[in-house]
Amino acid sequence: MPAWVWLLGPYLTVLAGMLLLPLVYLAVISVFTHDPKAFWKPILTDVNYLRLLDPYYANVLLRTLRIGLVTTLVCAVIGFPLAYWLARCSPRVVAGALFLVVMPMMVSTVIRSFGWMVLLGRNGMINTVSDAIGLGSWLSVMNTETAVVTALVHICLPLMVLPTMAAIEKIPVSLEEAAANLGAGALPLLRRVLIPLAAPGLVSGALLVFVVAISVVVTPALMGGRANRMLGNEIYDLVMTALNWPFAAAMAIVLIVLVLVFLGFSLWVGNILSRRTGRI
Amino acid sequence: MYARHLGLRFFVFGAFVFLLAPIVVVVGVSFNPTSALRVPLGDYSLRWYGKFLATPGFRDALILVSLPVAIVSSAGATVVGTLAAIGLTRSRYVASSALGSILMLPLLIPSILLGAALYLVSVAFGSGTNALTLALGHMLLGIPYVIRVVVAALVAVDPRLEEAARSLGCTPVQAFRRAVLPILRSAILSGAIFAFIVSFSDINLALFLSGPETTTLPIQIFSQIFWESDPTIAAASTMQIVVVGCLILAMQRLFRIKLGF
Repeated sequence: MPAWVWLLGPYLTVLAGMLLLPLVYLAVISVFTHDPKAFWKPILTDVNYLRLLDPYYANVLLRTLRIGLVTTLVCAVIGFPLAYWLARCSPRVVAGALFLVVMPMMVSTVIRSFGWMVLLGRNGMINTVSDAIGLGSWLSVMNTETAVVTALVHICLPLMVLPTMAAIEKIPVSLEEAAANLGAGALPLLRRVLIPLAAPGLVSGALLVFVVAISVVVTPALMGGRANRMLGNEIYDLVMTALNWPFAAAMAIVLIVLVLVFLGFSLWVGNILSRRTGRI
Repeated sequence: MYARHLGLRFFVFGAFVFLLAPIVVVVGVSFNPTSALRVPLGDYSLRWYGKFLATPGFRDALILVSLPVAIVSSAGATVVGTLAAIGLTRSRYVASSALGSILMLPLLIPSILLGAALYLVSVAFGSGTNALTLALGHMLLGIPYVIRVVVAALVAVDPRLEEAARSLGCTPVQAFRRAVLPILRSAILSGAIFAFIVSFSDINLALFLSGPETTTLPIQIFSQIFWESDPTIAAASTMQIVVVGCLILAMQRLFRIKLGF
């Protein structure tokens, strides 16, 4: 038996049994008919996918897509300068700074959303402090899409920063100096040198962020209330409470399609960004 | 060039405040003497840690579920992931980046979908969910992290070490075990820690795969936020934060692993 069989075999077995098989099962029952007694019966139907076009579910789908895209964009805008700074700061500083980026990333998302509830709530920290210094409690952001996006950006920011930082580290500082010598200011440097060369990092960061942002359950439940439910919340309720497996499966398949479409989209944008280098 | 630019420094400072604020606030709330969810000014109290330890729901979630599940899934992910990492870097056929990305696939599958799919399959074909299904699911999430860390370390190993061992009469397996494996030790341990943390912090899989007997700490915190919000949640969260923070610090300082991708 060749060596790779017992080296890669276990992982391939795990992937086949725990990733491929469950996904195929989802795909299959997503075109089956819902049956309250046996979860599903093997009669082909398109009703599960058509039901996604109902105004309510179409709305949830659009909201999920919108929240995912906005979160990705905000993460890129905040994440790029942070990644640049991390890639260029002194080695003594970078270890501590990286700890401060990675540590929040690894803390459970429930805890981080809870922290935002304490901060942003009607009687939360920000309002209490603002009231104490005489500015009144003006902040009422809980149970809005803004609150969901805020907590999501917090969850996803490190996922954008780390790959982008790795990409910027590979850009030699001399290239920045050369651009400056040729008269490029900060903005042309960013547009013509840094962003095009860091595009692969930005693309993989965007992909990681988008995948996490569209598949959350806890964050919209805690930050968004009843009015800002996302696909994840609907899937959870359909599987655990309503027991409509075929419809939940159809939603899950739509989630994968969203990821694939976004994969193609971000590769396309990445291509456009990196082609800019040729036109200095 | 612009790393010392004042504007950038302000921006970075703001970003760190944003990243750390909710964590600092949760830790602060856990020391509040009253049952309000606010950061105390002046007097501190450990009563909520006492309540945490006295509440079976929280205590059991941490000690009987979250920790054992994280240990088992981390052990599994470390073995499977290390083998795969060796296979990836050593095989003539599979060193291509295409296969590399297939192996990272679990990171691109929305975890909510993975949770739902694993739940449906284990109810449809098995006896429902238990601690083992949860540990297996977490193992799948942890493997890519192990592969990343171990592959990075393997690529840096000087191939002449193995050649020297071979020329001194070792079989290929012996040469690998005696010359390369010791160098990989800290990378493998870091991979294990990553996998442990992934399991310890996960909520999306646990939402589906944890039952009444197997409530993990994040799930317990989540349901308590809805039922009775008092600083016990913050105390429980702080314990999670401390465990995660110490593990990452250990990885960074003891094993000298550069954090990041």
